[in-house]
Amino acid sequence: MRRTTRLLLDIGLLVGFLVAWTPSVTGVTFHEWLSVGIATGALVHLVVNWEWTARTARRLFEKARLEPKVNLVVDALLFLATITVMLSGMMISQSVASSFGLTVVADAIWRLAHSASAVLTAGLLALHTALHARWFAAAYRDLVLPSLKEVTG
Amino acid sequence: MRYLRHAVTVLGLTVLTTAAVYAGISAFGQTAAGTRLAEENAVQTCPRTGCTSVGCHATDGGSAGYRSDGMSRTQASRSRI
Repeated sequence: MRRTTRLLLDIGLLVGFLVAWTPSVTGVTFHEWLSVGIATGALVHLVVNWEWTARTARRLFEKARLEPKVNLVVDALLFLATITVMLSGMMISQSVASSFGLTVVADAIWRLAHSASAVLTAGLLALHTALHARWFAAAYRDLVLPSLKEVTG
Repeated sequence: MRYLRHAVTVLGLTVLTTAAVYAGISAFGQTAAGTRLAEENAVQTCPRTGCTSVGCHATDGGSAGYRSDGMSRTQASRSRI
């Protein structure tokens, strides 16, 4: 996948999550369908970066640089938190579940799991983004700045 | 072809992790500690808008959470009047 597409996907996921963070503003129906989109995008993000994940996992216990190992641990926790927030969201869903013909009984434990895992996902997402700040900066410098220069002349 | 192989791996991992998380939370919810924690932290959510602030929905001192019969507590208090 081209770096431009990857950058757009990553920015889309980040903005999407920030919007999904405020269901009281956007409404629950939009929040739920946006989250389905985020889950799909997150899976694509993982598939695209799977080679790095597998390579780093194989070298996890070898003597090597610490940074990729920290990244992998954060990514694994983020994967777990994202699955928890999406699953618990589906378990208390009011719109998406009924669209698939499913009836859910909103249990308090799933509401608690949803709010707790949402906070955890937000924190881990911020950390994940911070750990990849150099990649974002390089992509911005190589892809966005030349386009801006072209536009402004 | 490479992405297809990765997609199968990622989907498999996602399904397995989802099943494990579902089993874990369901099992925790069945325990006394899980039930107590859920009751203590239960968020009162407006069934129509998803708003979690009591003031935005429940104006009669009731809350906007779901009852076991699916009727919101505000609706229930109105039906009693």
